[in-house]
Amino acid sequence: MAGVRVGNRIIGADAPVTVGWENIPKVEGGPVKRFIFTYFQPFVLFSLIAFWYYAPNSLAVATTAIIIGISFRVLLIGIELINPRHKSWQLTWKELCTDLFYVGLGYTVLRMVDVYIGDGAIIGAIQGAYDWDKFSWFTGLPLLVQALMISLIFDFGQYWMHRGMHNWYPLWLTHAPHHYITQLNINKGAVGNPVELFLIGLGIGGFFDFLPRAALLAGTLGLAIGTYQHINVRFNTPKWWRFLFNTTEHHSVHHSQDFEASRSNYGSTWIIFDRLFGTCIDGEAEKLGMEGGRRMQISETMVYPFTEGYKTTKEWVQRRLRRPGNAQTA
Amino acid sequence: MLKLPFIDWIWTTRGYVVLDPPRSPASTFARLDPLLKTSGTEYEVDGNTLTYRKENPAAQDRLATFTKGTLKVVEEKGQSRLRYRLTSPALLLVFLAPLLFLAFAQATIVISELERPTEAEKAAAKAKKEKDAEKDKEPQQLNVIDQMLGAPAPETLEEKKQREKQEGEEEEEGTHSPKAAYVFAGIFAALFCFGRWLEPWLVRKRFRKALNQSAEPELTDRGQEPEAQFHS
Repeated sequence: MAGVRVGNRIIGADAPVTVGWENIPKVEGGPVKRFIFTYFQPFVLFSLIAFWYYAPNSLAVATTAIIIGISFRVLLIGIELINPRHKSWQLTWKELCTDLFYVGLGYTVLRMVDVYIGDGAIIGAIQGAYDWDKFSWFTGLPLLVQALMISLIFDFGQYWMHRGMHNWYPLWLTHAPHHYITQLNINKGAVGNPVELFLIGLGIGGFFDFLPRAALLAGTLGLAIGTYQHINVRFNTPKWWRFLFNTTEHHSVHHSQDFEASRSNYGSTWIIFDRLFGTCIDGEAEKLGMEGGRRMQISETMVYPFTEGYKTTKEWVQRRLRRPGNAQTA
Repeated sequence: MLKLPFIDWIWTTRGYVVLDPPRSPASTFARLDPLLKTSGTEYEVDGNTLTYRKENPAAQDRLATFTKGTLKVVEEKGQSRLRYRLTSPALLLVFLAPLLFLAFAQATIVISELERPTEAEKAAAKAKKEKDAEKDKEPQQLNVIDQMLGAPAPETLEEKKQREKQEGEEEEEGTHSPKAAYVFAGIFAALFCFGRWLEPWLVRKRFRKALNQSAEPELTDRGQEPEAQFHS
């Protein structure tokens, strides 16, 4: 496979990757369908922003955010079933059960662990130790600016954590199971080893004092943009959206079976950090996963970082002991 | 899989498909090739019986849910039939998943009980909270842009006090809430019921389609049914 040169890299030499927006297929069908799948994403985003901006204090609470979040995901699963982007990514009963198992772990065990060692606990300890007040001047900024800052600060952290996971072996061990997914669906973001899911959730937003409404607005950016990372639906996403935000196209390149392509598009909600730091590839891929698309089972996902880490360490030690210098000394 | 006649309905499906027109075992099994010639699948034919086993099938494998099965071509009641008995570890695991989440819920309750503060700790925490509350200032006004655009003002100290009072009463239950675990136990119970109906229905439909279509099914280069081809 020849691949395509993007900057200094050859993309698509190992597995097919479509590079360039001009080569991405458009939504097919009648005018109503095309209209819906062109304007759905911006419409939902701006509607949710307007809702959180103007909702009375009694409604602007976390419970409302949870209800909206779950309803939105259910709606998107429905759209995936009716209008899949790739039939090879079609959501099946077994895949849905597998994905929901990981989602369930996130809402139960991980949430419990987070109370003790999550970013909130760490930041609280630091603030307590240094009698360090939060940066309270943030609350004087316009709400949308606060929301943007929360979202960008969190995403900046996620970008580097994610990039670190692809470049530093101990972190890669935790992240690798997530790259064994062979298709993208709404809940695939939750699929992975719990250690990774814990690490990727760490943020420094707790150091800042924001108005609760700003935090809810920032959350809605994650919901109405970030959720599309793992979706099996084709949209005619607007150009400005594709320039600013991470899309399922970007993320499919990141999950591609092509090694070089998988080392791109590290952002979560925003793609602008990838553009800034030279890791963005605009395009899409259909063949996803590792080892030619081997599906990793739950049992292996849970232990992979430890078994693989043990294996690598053992091999390293054996290699060191087998060195010619060592043999002579012996 | 274990043979437990009273409970094996959880992970087993049995049924038959009428072969119309009647077919020999060899012709019947040849028609099922697209379902069986997939990666990780081993099968053997012994006379009128085919036994298969799938090791970690791909997500889109048409028999991914039923990873073991026995298919037999028989003559019954004047009809030629394909009888099948398929087993599914996935169905069994989803059946058991609610128990796991109920265990998480119990663990949550136990941990909350262990961490429940003593009366003295509660009083100290309350005193600290009241002391902190005295330092609280009324929230600063919204930025002028937000005021112009008509965003609701942040809650006042009085409103905050009332909300915290209400939330405090809810938090009395403990540090962690078992609610999410109960919800997921319910979700998996529902998924089992749905899957136990859907998956046998789908597999029967696939067998019928493979066996009774007039034209020979075309094999793709991936060894899958035409409907499972990769296209966008």
